[in-house]
Amino acid sequence: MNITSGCTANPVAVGIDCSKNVTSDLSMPDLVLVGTDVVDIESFNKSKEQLSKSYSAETGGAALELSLVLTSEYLTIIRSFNEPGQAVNTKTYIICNSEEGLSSDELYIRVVNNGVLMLETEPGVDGIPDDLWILYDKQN
Amino acid sequence: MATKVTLRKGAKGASVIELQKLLNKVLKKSSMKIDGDFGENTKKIVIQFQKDANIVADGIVGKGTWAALAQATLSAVTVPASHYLLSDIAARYIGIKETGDNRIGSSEEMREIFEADDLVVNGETDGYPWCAAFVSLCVQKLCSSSILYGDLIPPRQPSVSRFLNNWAKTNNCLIFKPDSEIFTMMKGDIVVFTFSHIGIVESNNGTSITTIEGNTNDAGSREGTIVARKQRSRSIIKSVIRLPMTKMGTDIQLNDSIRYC
Repeated sequence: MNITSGCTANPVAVGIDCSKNVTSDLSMPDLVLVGTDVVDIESFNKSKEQLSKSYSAETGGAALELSLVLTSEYLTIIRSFNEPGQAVNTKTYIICNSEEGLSSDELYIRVVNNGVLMLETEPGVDGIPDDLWILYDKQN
Repeated sequence: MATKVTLRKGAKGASVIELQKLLNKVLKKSSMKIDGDFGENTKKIVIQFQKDANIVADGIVGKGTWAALAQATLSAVTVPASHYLLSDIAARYIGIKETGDNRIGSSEEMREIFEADDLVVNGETDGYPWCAAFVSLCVQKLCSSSILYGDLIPPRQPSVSRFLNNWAKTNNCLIFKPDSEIFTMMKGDIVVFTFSHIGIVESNNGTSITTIEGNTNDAGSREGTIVARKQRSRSIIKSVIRLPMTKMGTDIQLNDSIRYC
């Protein structure tokens, strides 16, 4: 499954132009945050697994969760970032479901075995790097 | 020794000579003439130092600038055993492990860690990511065991961002970037990563940093569970925190540094 284009922050999908291809000049990082370790992205093989409804990660100081809702046209992703004792930071991304790839201008996703790699280029919160993929594990 | 007086443009004498020697030592590219005259060039170099040290850049050498100079000379000149103590305290916890899902289980050491902050979630003192609690505990133990840090109000922070942006800033810690030309990461410093995580420097060989971290990955695991020693690249370090010493500690450090200049 491939998903492309879209916008962020507003969960209402109206106005998203799914005919527009996302062209990225971004030099994609080749490192992945796995818990508190940083490993090469070559360690991960792309998978054709179906997306799950929820994923999670922990970075040493924070718990992160993804909630996904997939329709025929859009994929909605709500990412929450929770540092203990702090208000939970959430960000909602809506991206188009197409053959071009799992990406938008601010969000890139790769499905791997038992999880997803996700890169946020403008996470808007201290504690989520904009230059590392993060491995989220699939939740059953 | 008259090093702690406030110095500004126009000052002259032995204190200015000591200041100029320290600045030349700390600023690797500085080759200021040691003439005991606080002129325009000395002021310019003081301002450069103050900017790099993230303190008010007014060209006046007061208490804050002397303290920052003492912090800078920790790694450039002397071997500060008291500063190393934070790392030695952390090392005693290596191998301490949660039982999963950030739970204490029956470990007394894990209980100590989780009780080092004031957070209680749903009536439980555990159950949340604990790297900041671990560093808080180590700083608390440092403050209670070293007279040179006895003035410091120790952190009780479960949150990495609050540890850096709230506690470290309000307690006059020196905060610098890992690529600073003045300050070199050293044993006893605290590192905040580009992702939400924090640890304590055990050594720095110039290319990689050895740290001791709580709630970090065991070999091959996907999630942090343990206090462990890690090799870290400086590219994933966002900020370095150096704890402030008491006035007595600052004076001792400055006097030692000047002796070696």
